[in-house]
Amino acid sequence: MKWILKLYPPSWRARYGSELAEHLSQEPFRLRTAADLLAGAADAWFNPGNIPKTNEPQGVSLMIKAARCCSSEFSTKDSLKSAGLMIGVTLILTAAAVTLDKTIGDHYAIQALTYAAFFIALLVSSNLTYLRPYSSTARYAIIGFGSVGWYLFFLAVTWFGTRI
Amino acid sequence: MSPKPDNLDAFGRFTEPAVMILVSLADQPRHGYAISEDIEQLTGHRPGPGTLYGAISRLETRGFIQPHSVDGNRCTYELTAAGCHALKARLDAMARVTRVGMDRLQMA
Repeated sequence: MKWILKLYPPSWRARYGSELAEHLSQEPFRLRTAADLLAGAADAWFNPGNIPKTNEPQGVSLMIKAARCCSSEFSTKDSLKSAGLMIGVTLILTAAAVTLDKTIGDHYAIQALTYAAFFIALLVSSNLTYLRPYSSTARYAIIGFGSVGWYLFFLAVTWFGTRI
Repeated sequence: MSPKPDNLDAFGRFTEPAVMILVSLADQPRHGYAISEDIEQLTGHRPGPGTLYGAISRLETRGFIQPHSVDGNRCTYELTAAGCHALKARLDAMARVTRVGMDRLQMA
């Protein structure tokens, strides 16, 4: 029944989501309860003024959170570190691609690295946010295979681009 | 002398659950599930979780209740001074209605 909580507004979930999830874990599934939750979700959307203000970060950090679609399950410090890591890795990979381009010459594999840089960086930076609940093995597997996957995807795209 | 308005009427369909929550918190802080159980013991009817938290959010927004402590994922709530005042005003009004109703029933 916890899936119904996803229908509530994010600000509502940030404030009451975890305790209501705990509450629901003690309740047996009933259609009446599900209907009550649906009505509660509709009420929360139509009456946002009834959601207490939380100590959510404002200004720049809030913009960073919004831009990265972060939930409030990790701190502003984590979000900032993650954003820094994302920018850093993107710059490093892009610089590597530019260097390779200058030394080796124009090649679709290098172009693929340029395109994949941001997406790989996004995965790496998720290590501090979304991937945090997972074990370190799972995180490294997701980041490793995900990065290779992104690179292969762009490799295929750029290769195809050279053929048309 | 008429009591001060307690603002609970503005809660619409959440008014009754809100009063029950205030009654539940009148003697001690409780978390959501304990409030729900207490209301069930008191009235024989358990409020749905959507209704319960709709009422809790309204009470908290208006400063009638506030978080007392957090135990894991569970937040315990307590009455504020405004909440005590609102509950007392509501119970006084209900007591008057009850008294008048009982008197009229005896006259009938």
